[in-house]
Amino acid sequence: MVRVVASSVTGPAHQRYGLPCQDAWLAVPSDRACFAVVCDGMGSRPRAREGARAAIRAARDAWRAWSRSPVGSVEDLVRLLEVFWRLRLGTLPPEDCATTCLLYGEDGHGRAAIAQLGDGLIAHRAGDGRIRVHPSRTNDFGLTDALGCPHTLGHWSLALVAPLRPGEALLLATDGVSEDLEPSRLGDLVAWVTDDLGLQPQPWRQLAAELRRWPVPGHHDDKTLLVMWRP
Amino acid sequence: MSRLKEFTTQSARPLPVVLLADVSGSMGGDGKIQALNHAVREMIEAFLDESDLRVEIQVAVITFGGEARIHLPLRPSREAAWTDLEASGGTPMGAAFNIARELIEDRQVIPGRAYRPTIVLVSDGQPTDSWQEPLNALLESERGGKAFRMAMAIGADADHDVLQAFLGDPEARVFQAGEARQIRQFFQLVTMSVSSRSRSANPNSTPSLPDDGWDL
Repeated sequence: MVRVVASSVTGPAHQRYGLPCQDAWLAVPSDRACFAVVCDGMGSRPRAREGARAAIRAARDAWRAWSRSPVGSVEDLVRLLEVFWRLRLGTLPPEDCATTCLLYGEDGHGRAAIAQLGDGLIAHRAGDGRIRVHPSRTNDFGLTDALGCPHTLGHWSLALVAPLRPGEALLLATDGVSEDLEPSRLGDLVAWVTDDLGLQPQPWRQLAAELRRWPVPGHHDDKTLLVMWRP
Repeated sequence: MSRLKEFTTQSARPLPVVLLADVSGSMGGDGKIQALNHAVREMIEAFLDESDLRVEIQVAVITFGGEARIHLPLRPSREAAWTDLEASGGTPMGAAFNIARELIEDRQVIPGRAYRPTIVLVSDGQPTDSWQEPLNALLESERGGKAFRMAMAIGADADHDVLQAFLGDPEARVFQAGEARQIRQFFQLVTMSVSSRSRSANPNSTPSLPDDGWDL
């Protein structure tokens, strides 16, 4: 049984102005083929929250369609996602709804897709504890690619990998979390979620409480952390 | 205590300010170098007053006078020990652009989590070395082109064309200091710009500053 612990919390900057969280996440912890996505609506855009929420659903819809075929490429998955996102926005201008998108989706045929547009972090913990960070095409200084901003397929960072095996885990985080993480402690962070929080009755509540107590001075961004693992 | 403290960095995100200061021989006249020293010292002290820990303002000073060199390595403003600049020699501005590019592109010095740097150029004369290629390299570098830039021409002999090229935008304003006191005013404007960003909900956004009321 695949397990997931995830939470999004509103950052101090949005709290100060009474704005809701503009991050969103969604996971399908199915044994046959699991799926997870996190999105970070760009704070400078007026409908970023709607954009992020539309993106997680569009990503799930795209994954469901994509996983019906054993031969679809990761590029195909992303193309579907981009179309579904625009359809879900309806009459909202995409540029008002700009959002990053980071996803992991298994196809049930022995393959899994990783796709990342914009900043944030996707990391895989192997059974022996080794951490592999998915190479992003993130720009420095908070400038990020996003759905709703001019981009091409080439701006996505894509990979086709093996599905999660027993003992393996995947971490997805928006930049409000990933920018402040110590790279050398990623494995310990995953272990804390899987081996400590994962044993709690409502682990997402405790994770949310921890994210609200984010210990880095001056932090301001919304925060989303998602860990999916196969025990 | 948050368990997440074990997995996170403990410093606020840096906001680098890089000053490229002309300290050529001509800066020795009309009290210019004294005014520059006073203004930069005031700016660094003002950054210390930014008690909001949202960002960690860091300062570096690169000088070009006879030779280009790092006068003050990039470090948090609270750790910046200022020593006065002295004026001498030619104006190797191109070499200063190269040092600035190397500094800004160095991910060990300025990590990816840093906010967009502010680069400030002040000069009272014509570059005495080849500056076009180093400037293009700075502006076209992956990070250099994303930095906020401000420029001030000191006196009538300053090369406005190179300062305007540094800003990379024909509409952007090169501030003009006809007398020493205006050097101080310009650095007050720089301080206000950086402080405004440090208090902003998004310190990477373009600072909005009043465009009037400045005798520059």
